[in-house]
Amino acid sequence: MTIGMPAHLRPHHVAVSFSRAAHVAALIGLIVDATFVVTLQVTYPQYEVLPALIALVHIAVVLAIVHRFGTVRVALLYLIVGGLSVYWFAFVLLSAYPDPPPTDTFSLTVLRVVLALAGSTGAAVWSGPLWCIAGIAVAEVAIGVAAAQTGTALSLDFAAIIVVAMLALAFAGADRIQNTVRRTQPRLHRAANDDKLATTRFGIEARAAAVMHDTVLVHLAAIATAPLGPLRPDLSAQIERDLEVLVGEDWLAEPSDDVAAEARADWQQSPMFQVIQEVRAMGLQVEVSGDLSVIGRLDARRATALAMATKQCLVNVIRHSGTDRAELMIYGSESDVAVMVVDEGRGFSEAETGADRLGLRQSVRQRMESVDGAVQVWSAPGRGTSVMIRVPAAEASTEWAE
Amino acid sequence: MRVAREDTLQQLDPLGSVATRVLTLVACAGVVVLACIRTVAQREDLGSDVVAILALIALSIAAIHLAVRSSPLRMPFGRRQYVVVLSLALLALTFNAASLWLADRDLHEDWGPPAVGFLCLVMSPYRPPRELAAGGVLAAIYSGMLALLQALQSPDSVPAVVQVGVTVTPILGLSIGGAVFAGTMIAVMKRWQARSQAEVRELDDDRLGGLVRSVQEERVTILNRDVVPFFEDILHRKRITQDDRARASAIADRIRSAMVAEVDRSWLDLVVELDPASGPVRDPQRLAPVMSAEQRTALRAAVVAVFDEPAYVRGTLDIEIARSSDGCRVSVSCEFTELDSARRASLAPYLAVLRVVFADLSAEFNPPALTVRFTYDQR
Repeated sequence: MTIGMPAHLRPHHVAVSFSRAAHVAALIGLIVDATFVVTLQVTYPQYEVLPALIALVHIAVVLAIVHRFGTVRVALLYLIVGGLSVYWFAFVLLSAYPDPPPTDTFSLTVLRVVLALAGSTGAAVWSGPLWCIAGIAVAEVAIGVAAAQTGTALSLDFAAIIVVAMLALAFAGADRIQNTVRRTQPRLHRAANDDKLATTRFGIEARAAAVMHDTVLVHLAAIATAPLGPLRPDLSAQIERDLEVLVGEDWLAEPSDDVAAEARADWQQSPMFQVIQEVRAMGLQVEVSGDLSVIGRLDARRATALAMATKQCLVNVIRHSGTDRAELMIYGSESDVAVMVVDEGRGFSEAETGADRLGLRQSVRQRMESVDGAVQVWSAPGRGTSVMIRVPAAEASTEWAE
Repeated sequence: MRVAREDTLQQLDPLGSVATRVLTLVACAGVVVLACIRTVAQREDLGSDVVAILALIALSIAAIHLAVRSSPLRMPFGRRQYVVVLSLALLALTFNAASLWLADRDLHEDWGPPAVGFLCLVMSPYRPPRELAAGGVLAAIYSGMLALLQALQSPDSVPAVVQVGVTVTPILGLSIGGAVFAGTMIAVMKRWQARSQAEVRELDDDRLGGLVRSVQEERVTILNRDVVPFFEDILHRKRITQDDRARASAIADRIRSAMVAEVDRSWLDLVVELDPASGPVRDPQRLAPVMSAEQRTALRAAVVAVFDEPAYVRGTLDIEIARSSDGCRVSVSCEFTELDSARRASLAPYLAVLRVVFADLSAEFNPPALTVRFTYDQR
């Protein structure tokens, strides 16, 4: 997870965002001024103010260029062209009327703000206030020249000064934001990385615990309850297999997709088939029903996880149910595969299972949750046990032949 | 009550919004101060002092509401708050217009329209861009109607279109500008988040092999101590004795206890262990793993930040998680040698981030203790 933007990227994007907003606001100002000019011309046709539109068009064109390219040279060009255009606009407006409006009239205020706003190139936040001041200075000089030429007294435009001062403060404030983010963002980023590592490690540890439980703990329990005397050949073979797995280098590695592809094509090579054979060898009668072909819809990881979780359920039947029969139903749809293990043994209450028992919790639930699966258990003392294990299916599928 | 996440600068960039807070407070105060100065400076020309004061009161309430509700501890600033502030601002504009009309002066000659526009601009980090633009347009239409009404009732040499234009320009320009700023920043942030998510996934692929080897080596070390020699001995003798049965049982119990202890430890236990003096996380129902990745990251960052505070008193962090009617309720408390404004300011960004990813967050500063409570859904 990342929240916000890294501190080193922020200044540029804040400056660009400010510039875009400023350019849009400037365009609104130009449209309003153009509307004023047309309205005044229509209302007072005897006064020629329409030529002032030329200035607005020039400013709009250069504004578009600044918006598109945003370089310092283009911004300087904008100030030059903008200044000349403001002069023309002010000259036309002030010379058109026998009683000219004051130089702080609204349409001239708008142009002062337009020039202050639109010079920002978005290159850096710190340069924003400089462009604001440069813009209003150029506008003031241009209007001052026009006022001098037309004999109009120059009035101080407080409204424009306040607006530009606030804009400059906003730019300066945006720079201040960087410091707070610079301190905190790296810590959030590190926390996100640490969480990702911890979650991944937890998944690997859960898998390791499940493997240890299914191998070492199961066979230690078998030794602890084995009859005294010669070691049974099947138990000897299982212990040897355990040693090979544990001493081997990749007992935590994911099964390869090549193996899964073969297994999908042949039920008898599937992990589920191997598990059923193993528990039958332990003395459990397993009645299999349902659509075995749906197992082929699982990828290697999920097929193995489902098989190992099912094995644990069947081993639990052997060790805890008091019966030697179990039913295994396999069914599914395009989106998921489900296995149900049912026995008519003595049943149990999961809530009363000792905290130190790991079979259901680790080998079944956590194993299936790590592959986005889910487990439901129905059991009560004296009423047998049903365990349903669901897992999402992979996209690829191959039809089985039993 | 959980509020749905929205695409606002405040929620996508809580760190930025914490820093923006100062600007928001300054702007809210500035708008009110400028309006007061303007009103006092032209009080001779006002049609009604009472109406003018009502306008200032309405504006002040709008500014105070915005200043208070935009606090990081009250996130998010919802649509309701936006409507309240905008409505109060327009009410202030209406009173301002009335006081000017009574003196036969125009709306655009006073502080009303710029104040409304400025408050719209100040709210731009807190609401979605479309809502800001729509609100600005509606406010401009309303103020334009007021100006048109006045222009039609008291015609003078200035055309009505010009009067309406002068009135709506500050509102339109500032609100639309604010919407564009928010929209541009939000788009950039979303692109960045999408790219960084992909990079984190790629990083895992590189590190996965190392993690697997590390875990495997730890397990093999444990197994080589007891299990492997025991199994090899059994296989060599091909017999099981009473001692073997007892030894198998003892080894199984030891391994099982270690595995149970490991399984029972959550990610939060490991984070809290960074301060060895802290007590364990009280989470009897094992609700810590239910948190989402965002929530875990935010809480992890906040806890580590507390531990890194020089004023933090070692061993005082206490975390409790319990099921409640709202989901999972978390209470985090810790103590500092001093809990002054500097401490609060340094922790504010983390509280802001927690506020975004958890519901109902409350933070109580009772020096020397800080207690933070929040809830999250049980998935």
